[in-house]
Amino acid sequence: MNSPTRSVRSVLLAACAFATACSGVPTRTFQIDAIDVEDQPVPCIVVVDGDWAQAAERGQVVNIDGKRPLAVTVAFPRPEANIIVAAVPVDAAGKPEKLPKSREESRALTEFLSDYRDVRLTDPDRTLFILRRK
Amino acid sequence: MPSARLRSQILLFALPVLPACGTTTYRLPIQVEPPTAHVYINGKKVGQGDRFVHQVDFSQAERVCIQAAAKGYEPRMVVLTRDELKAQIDSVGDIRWTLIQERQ
Repeated sequence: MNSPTRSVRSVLLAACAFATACSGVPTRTFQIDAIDVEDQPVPCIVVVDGDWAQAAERGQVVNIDGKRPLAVTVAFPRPEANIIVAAVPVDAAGKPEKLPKSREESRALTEFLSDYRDVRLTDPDRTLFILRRK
Repeated sequence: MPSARLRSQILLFALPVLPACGTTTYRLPIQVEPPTAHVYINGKKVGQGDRFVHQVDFSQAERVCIQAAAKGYEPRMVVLTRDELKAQIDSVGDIRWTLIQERQ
């Protein structure tokens, strides 16, 4: 027979699991692409909610190593999430020379201006950014 | 309780209205200057600047993203909800853009 303590512990554990499941932040995976005004792909880093470090750590780059479009899962603790797409300098082999840590750095290192957009959980899957040359 | 005749009359008037209320697609005429401009809807290239019609589908998303770009011009974009697109079609009838030339 179970002791009362053990029963209470089981109930608490179940309650915690239920609370965790119910309080989960909704997520959505977007297919991100970046092109220039001539419809040509532009290698870019994709930054969600301003987290440049996480974008670099996860290798969130589009149009590099055949990643086109790039699938990016976005969490929605708020109704809208912000996505920045900033050009990345690449070498002759198409490998990134450096991942910029800001929009200003991307602008300094490449010939493109970065772009940004607020997306919602219910927005279309495919999100296209058209970058202007500076 | 309405009579059978009244019920059939109500049905007769309601039938044409019901599909309009539940529709998820809208017929959207688009025209962009210059005619060489590429037009993208929800990230997919759907045509070029010369006037064309696209069926916008709201069954998978609550907003539609319309973009246009051409060499030598500033790209343009608008994101519209279903109600906003319907209002645009009702008031103007289409999307008609003239892209602005980039400064040299």
